Order: sequence, then C-alpha cells, then structure tokens
Amino acid sequence: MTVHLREKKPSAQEMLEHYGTPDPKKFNAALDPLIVILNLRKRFKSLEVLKGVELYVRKGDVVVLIGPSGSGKSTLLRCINRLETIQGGDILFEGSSIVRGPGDVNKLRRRIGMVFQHFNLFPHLTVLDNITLGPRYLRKMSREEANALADRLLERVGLADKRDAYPSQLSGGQKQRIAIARALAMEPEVMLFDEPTSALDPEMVGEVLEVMKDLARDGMTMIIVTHEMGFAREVADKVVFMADGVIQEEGPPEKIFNHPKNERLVSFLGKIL
Amino acid sequence: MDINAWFADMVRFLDKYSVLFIGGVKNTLILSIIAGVLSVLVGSGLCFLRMSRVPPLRWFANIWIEFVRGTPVLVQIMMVYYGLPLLGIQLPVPTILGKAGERAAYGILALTINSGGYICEIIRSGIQSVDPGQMEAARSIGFGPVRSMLMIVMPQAVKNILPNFGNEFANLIKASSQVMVIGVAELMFTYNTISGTSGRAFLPLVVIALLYFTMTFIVGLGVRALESHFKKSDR
Repeated sequence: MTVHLREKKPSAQEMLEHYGTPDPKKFNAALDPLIVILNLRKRFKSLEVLKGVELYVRKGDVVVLIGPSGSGKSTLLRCINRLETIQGGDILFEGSSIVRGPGDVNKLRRRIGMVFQHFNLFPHLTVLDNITLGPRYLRKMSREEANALADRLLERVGLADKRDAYPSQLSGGQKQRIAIARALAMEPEVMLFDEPTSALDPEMVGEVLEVMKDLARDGMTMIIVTHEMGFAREVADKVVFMADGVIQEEGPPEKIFNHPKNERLVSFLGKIL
Repeated sequence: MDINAWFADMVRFLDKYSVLFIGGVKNTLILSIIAGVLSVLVGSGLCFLRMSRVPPLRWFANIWIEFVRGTPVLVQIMMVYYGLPLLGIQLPVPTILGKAGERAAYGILALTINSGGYICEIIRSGIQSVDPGQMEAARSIGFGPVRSMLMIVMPQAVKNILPNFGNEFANLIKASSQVMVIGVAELMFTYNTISGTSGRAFLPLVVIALLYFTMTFIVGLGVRALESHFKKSDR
C-alpha cells in the first residue's frame, strides 16, 4: 500500500503546477494528504456509480465537487464516512485505510463532520440538545462544558438566541446552520457537506454559505458537493468535476471555470453559467 | 308490547344476570391485559428478529407474522389448545380467572402469539416511518447503531407506535371473545350460560355487544387523546 501511495503521490513540481500555491505551509501539507481516495468503486446493485475515483485532500483544503446529478458526487462523499459500503479501491484517512482493517467506524465518524442536504436535525430535541448530544455522550463532556461549547458554536453561526428552540421553529437556513454547529461540536478534522444549500429557499442560501466561508477561513478541511458555482470559485482550493462516476477534470477554480479542457466540463459549464 | 312491561322485563333480566356479565367483563379484561402486555414483549422481540441481519432469524419472524396474518384467530386458538398437549407441553394454571382458569393459559398464549405478530409489524412500520436521514445523522456524529436507535429513532417512532398499540389492544379485546371455544369463561362465554338458563337468544347478545363496545370505545378515546397529544408536540 505504501509503495502504491508513493507512486501516486504527485511530485513537488506537479503540485506546484496543479495547485499553483506559493505558500510553503500549504505546499508541505500537500505532500501529506489527509484523505487519499484510490481507485474507488461503488455499485448499487447493477448500477456502477463510482468507476475508479482518485482524489487527494490535504489538511486545510477546501475541495468542491461539481457535476451533473447522478455523477456520483454525493456517493463519493458518503463513502468517506462509510455511510456507503464500497466494492473496490481504498480510502486512507491520515495514512490508514478506513475500509480495511479493524478500525472502529464510530470513532472514525467522530473525526468527520457531515452536513446533509435535508439538515436531519433531531426534531424531538432542542437546538441545544441537538448540538450537545454528541459531545456529552461521545466526548464525555459534562453538561456545563457541552453547553458552553454549544453556546460558542451558536454564537459562531449567529443563532445564539435559538438555543432553546425546536428545529420545527427554525427556517431552512437556520436549520442548516444548526446542523453545521452540531457537526462542529465533535471538533472534526474534516467536514463533509452534501449539497448543503440545495433544499433552501434562495434568500437563505447566503447565510449558510457565509458560515461555510468562515469555516474555510479558519483552515477547516472541507469537502463540499454543491451547485453554487460562485461559492466554488471564491472559496475552493480545488474544484473537482465529476461525470459518469469518474473525475473528469480537477484543479484550482480559476483553471476549471476559465480554462476548462474536458469536453463534458465545457458543456456542463455552458449549461449552468 | 307495552313499554313499561318491556322495561320491567329488562330490569329483571339485568338484575338476575348482572353478576355473570360483570364476571365476564372482568375475565375478558384480565385476559386481554395479560395477553396485551405479553404481546408487546413478544412483538418487540419478534421485531428485533425481523430486522436482524441473520437470515434464519428473519425467516422465523416472517413465518410467524405471515401465519398469524393469514389464518383465523379461532384456528390459532384451537391449534394452541389441542396442539400443545400433543407436543407434551402442559401450561400452568392461572388461578386469577377462577374456575375455568385451567384453559385460560392456552387462550392467553394463543392471543399473545396472534397479537405479538401484529405488534411486531406496528413497531417495525413505526421505526420505518422515521426518516432514514435521522439514523444517518446519528451515525455520522459517531453514535453506534443501538444508541442511535434508542436515543434518536425510537423517541420519534413512538408517536406512530403508541396509538397503534391502542388500536391493537381494542382488536385484542374483540379477538379474546373467541377463546370461548376452548371454554375460557370470558364475556362471550357467559352467553351460553345466560341464553341457556333464560331461554333468550338475542337479549344477552345485545348486552354483550354493548359491553364490548364500551371497552373498545374507552380504549379508542385513549388512542385519540394520545394522537392529539403527539400532534401538539409536533408543532
């Protein structure tokens, strides 16, 4: 496996070309990816959704997955925290496989935050309990510690006044910001966003993207499936275009949006921009 | 018929047989409550098997449920009553049902088998009515399958499950009338005694029907109260 990895690791020259970053800190991190996806294959019955996907995500990267629906973006995301089983290939998290070996899937998921398209807040719990449930039971925090953490997070997503509300009393945008706070409460090393703004009314998209931008500025590693091209252009370190279960083209947003090479990408951008 | 004479006749009839009717109601309730509690336990266990990852356990639960749903309660009761002794199984005699108690255990067992199957399906559909995203969200935070089920899915499923438990209990009360065929002295069984001694075929039926209706109606009120309570908490 290690041999394979070394082979696959891009050279320094390639990295520089690929990411175009002069930042030495980022450059070093680039040589040591946080998440490595190798030849990932996923099938639903006879339908092959991922046909050998390869992706490197460095610590602090904001990776945005774009592509037509059914291209396998969401499935790829869900494979990373093992919400889907895979049929082939491997996913390495900090150098060790999360697919093979005796790893505890629950421990792994604590280190990976997930935000869903439909929020999936727990409707029977208050906002506070939605956020503190994980810290209290899984990180063994006292109620006071967990509440303090939740208050900090609520402040951060701008919803401190909704502490004692129930999810049904919130708007879509507010729900999604709470969902982000809930995921952050586990202090994950990477955050996965599965079309976080697709179920929102247009006027609420901005507030959620603001929170995500804030996270990105803070250096959170993020993998985001989205149709918000403006956001991708502004925030992404790397944009990945997927179609037909493979990565067709990837690179910095400037390259993907202004100088697309892949034919599918060109026609995709032509349709949406 | 003169209305006053009819009324006097009614009073005499009820006065004479009320002890029997009340005894029957008492036994019907005891039978139904015991079978009801047991069937919740059995049904929960069955549901666990039904949703298990081990195929033979699932098959067992499926066969049970299909059998219960596809055959008449009467047949199930008689199969338990005549079948168990053939297998050499003797059930204990509960004294709580009085003189005819020796048969009651068979009746309770048969009703539990029947109702347990339905309870299992109620629990399963209650769990499945919860958005799968809830389980995914709980799992992606890092909760294991058991804790996700207990802390996240079940509290939401209960809203769909509890009212249906009430409905099933009403069904159970009605179905319990059929254990009269194996000689359990519940409410329907009193019909034989009363119609035999009074020589009236229809009047006791009216009383019995009213008594069953009263019991199931009260249960129904409880169900509706539960439903509106849960609806309130939805808002």
